Amino acid sequence: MKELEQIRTMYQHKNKDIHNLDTWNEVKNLFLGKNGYVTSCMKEIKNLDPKDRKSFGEAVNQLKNEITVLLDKKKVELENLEIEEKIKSMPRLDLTIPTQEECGSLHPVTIVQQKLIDVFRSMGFAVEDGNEIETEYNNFEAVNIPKHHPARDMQDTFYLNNGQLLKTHTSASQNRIMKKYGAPLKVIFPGRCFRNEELDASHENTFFQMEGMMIDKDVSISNLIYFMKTMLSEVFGKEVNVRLRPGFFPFVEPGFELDCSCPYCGGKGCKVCKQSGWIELCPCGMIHPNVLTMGGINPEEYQGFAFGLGLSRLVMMTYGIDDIRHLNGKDLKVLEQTKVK
Amino acid sequence: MYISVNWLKDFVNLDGLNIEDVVQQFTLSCAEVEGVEYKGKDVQGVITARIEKVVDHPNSKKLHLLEVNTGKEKLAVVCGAPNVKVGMITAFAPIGAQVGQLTIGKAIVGGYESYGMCCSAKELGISDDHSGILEFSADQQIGVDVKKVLPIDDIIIEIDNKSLTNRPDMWGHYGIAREIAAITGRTLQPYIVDQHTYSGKENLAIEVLSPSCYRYSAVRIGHVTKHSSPEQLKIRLYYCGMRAISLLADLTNYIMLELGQPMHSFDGSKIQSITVRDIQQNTPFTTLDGVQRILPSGTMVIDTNHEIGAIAGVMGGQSTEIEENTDSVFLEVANFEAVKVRKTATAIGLRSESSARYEKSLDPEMTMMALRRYIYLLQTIDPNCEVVSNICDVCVKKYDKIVINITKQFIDKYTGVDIPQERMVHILTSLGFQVTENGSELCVHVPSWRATKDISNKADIVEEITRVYGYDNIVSKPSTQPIKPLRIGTDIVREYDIKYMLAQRYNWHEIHSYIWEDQPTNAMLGIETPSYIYLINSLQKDNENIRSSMKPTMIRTLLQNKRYADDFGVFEIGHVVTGMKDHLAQEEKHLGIGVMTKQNNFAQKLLEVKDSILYLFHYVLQLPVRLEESRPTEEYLCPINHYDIICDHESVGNIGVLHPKVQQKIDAEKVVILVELNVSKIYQKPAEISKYESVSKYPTTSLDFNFVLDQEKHYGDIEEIAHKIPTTLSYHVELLDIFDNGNTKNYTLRYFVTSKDHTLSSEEIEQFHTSVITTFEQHGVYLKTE
Repeated sequence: MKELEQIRTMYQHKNKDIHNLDTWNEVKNLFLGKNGYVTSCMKEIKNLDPKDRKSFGEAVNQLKNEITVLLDKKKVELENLEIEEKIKSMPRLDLTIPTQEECGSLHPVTIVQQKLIDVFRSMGFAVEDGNEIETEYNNFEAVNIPKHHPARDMQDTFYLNNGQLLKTHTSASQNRIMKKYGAPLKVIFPGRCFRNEELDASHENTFFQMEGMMIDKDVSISNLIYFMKTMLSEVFGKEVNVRLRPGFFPFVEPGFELDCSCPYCGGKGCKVCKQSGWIELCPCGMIHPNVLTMGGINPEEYQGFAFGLGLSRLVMMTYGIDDIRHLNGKDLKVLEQTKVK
Repeated sequence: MYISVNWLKDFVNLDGLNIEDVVQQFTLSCAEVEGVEYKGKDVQGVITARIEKVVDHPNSKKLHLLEVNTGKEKLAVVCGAPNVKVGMITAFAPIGAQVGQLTIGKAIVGGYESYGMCCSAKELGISDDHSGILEFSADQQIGVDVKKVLPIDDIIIEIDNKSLTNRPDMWGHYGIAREIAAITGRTLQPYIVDQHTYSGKENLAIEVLSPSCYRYSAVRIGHVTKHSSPEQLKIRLYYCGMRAISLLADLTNYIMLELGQPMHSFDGSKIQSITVRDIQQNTPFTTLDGVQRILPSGTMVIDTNHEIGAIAGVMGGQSTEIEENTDSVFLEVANFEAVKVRKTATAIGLRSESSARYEKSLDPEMTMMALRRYIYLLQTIDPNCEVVSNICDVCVKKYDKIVINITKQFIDKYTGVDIPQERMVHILTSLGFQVTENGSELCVHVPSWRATKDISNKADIVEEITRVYGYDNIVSKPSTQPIKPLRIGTDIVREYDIKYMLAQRYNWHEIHSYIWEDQPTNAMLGIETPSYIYLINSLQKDNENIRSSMKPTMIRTLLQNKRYADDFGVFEIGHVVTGMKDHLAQEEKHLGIGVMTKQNNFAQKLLEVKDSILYLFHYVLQLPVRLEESRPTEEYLCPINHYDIICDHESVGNIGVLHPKVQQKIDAEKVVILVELNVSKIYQKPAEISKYESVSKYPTTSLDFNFVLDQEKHYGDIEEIAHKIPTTLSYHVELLDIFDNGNTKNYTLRYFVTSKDHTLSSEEIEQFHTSVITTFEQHGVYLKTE
């Protein structure tokens, strides 16, 4: 029994010397190892007088448990110390230092166009693509602009050597889409349009429009107002008002100029709306019966509305771009500003 | 077009209405107003005064020293006008008056004090005549505000001509007044014209041979004594953008501005006969503006005394112009086919006030109205004048009367609102339509001035009703269409996935470029590219060729931005024309990518570009793809490192590198990698859905093989073989390493093999090992011998 007391005292001394895992292992071996003090004592039990065996055995076991607990505790301490050391040796970084996150950019037209497409798709409109090179028929005749019609004056057309032309408006796709899908129809078709004119800050020969049509048995001017108002409110991210004014476009009857209450000043008047409180955004109207007929749709049975949104203009408003030439300018210093998100 | 509010008031009473409100309502219901100008606002305090004394200035040839009597006082005034004379009553701006930007104060002119200014018509803003000061009639009372004598105060509304393209009736004050009467609920005053019957007088010799002359009305008026128009008439013409010339000519312009009906006054003494015909050959002709023009064959002309006297609908000639003191006028009021006039005006490059109106398809009924209005006005101004011929009226073509039957239900369906039928009828009637009602059916008779092309169907009637009813009164309503899936057109939507990937994953920049080639830059770089179609009327020279590939655009964009960064890329999905079929351009949408990097980064960048294409196919489009080495067809591409992009056994694009001979013109230190992908074609290929495979719970064994290949061969040549091991076990293979010893290339392939239902035995593994080697050997590929 005295022997056990000596071992206990010895351990208490040794315990203080444990500084790392190596010494911990040494101490563990010294007491609990194969030939350790405690292990040796346990081996002794069988040689003792049977009457002493029980009490000695209990005492040895108690000592073993005591030392095990102390060793385990020590190990946790050591491990904690080690982790603390690791943390100390870790570099401390300054994340407030500016870094250059690399990212390409999407063209501003792409971004605004996608937003519009999303809005219209969410309202059940399909999206169609169109050609850029069109026939005179599709661009003019099929949208009720016969040869020598004064409306052809409004559009300076790029003609091609084979008699085709670069489409002057997205309406050039109306006929093809109507013939392809028939009525009822709910579709938008964004596209690039071309006008043969000199460039300046507000005139481009290549620009984007977004056209839409909705044709069914009882589509009304009320519906047109609803869809335009809803669409523009979604685009600008706030409730806007719209108003219709008469506008002459041969492919619609009645034809309207759609004004949108200026989303930048709320209609009070600002630079964007030229102090008028309204922005002229979108020629539209009820599709002319002749246009429906040429598209293979019976105007006695179906009506519809069509609209053409000046996408390039909307893009310029959205980003505050003051010169339309930037859009086709291919200058990455300009374009990189519309990073993808 | 300029519209005078004073003039409108001749036809509709606007008392009690705020003009700004009327203009706003007009904009919302009729046509676009571009601006409103308040005339006379800057003329204040100018009065009539008599010049009592005129003394030459001692030191100036131009200046005179005047004594001016304002009725209240006599003032010393220094004046430079050449037409000053004693007793003359003129417009005088005393101290404190305002004339244009000028506020009159006491001034020293040429060393003498001046207590005011005598004004010219130009200074008062009523004419561009600055030849001398204004002269009133001798009986004019003095000391009266000139605005009481002359209608200087007016409001001029400028209307956008484009918004009147389809409205020939609105090309004059009377038509505008009709609209304003309808939208304000006022009554349109009748248009007062001469009502006399003329018979037993000269029959004018008029012959209409051209089918494009629909109506020709004419009269000769003699004994004209007045030659200058009244000031009020002159001011109206001036405010509306025309210059006063002489009474007989001014009246034609005046009535044109009222009715929109052009008319022509020939000198009455010069006209014996009139023939309207189409000329059979190109003929020179000198128009009123003094320019000689070649009229192309087919042009419709007015022959006077068997010689060309005017281009029908466009402009008269010099030879039959009104002489200053003529006492007779031969008045022509005709209606011509719109397209014919338009073609002529375009062909000779002469757009006149007259042709602008004829092009809109004028109402033939207006010719007689205008002619009789002329007689009425001329006789009012010059009671001595006399109609000396019978009125000649040759009607060649009449428009059909248009009657449109429409129901209230149709209109309601079209508008989406319930407009009371009574209101509909009232609106139509106020615009000059005649309506007979039969229950909810309206039988609408279109007035002649709207029947030439403007109104022809039910939708037109809906427009008339709704615009006057007020678009603001139409409430917004969602549609009641059934909801259907969107089966059509997702190509554009898929394009977004491609664009996002290229910008987000590869950090390239999307650009937009023109559809035509930039020939000078191409030439500078030595790039030749086929073009199947070109523009014939481009304002930008050297930019006519429509592109057949996106690559030159990419190259030029990299060139333009070469200082942007050491390493950057651009891309665009654009339209190209790759050939012709049945004379129609074959248009495709192509993705172009252009990446520029430093020479030492070339291999890594080329692999990155290749990675982008694989990623695009595998993950964005979910399509299989492989690359196949090929020779570029473009001379501006490097003959090596060119690969076709193969999808579904056909080439859909290619990856290549810019030829060093072009590269050195951009930046010899750099290298450009180019991709072209026919997205129109790949959109047609259905995405492949990868099928689920159960995951093995049993251990996987890996086996390495070292195969030897010729230098010329690519991994792509053995890739297919590697996947064709005949076995029932599950496996996949990876390329672990390539070792190039200069003569041959060793490829280390690692196979991972497992079974789905048991742990593999060593025999099975051995068997698989043998299968791999045998399969490769069958294709002439052998293991490396140690």
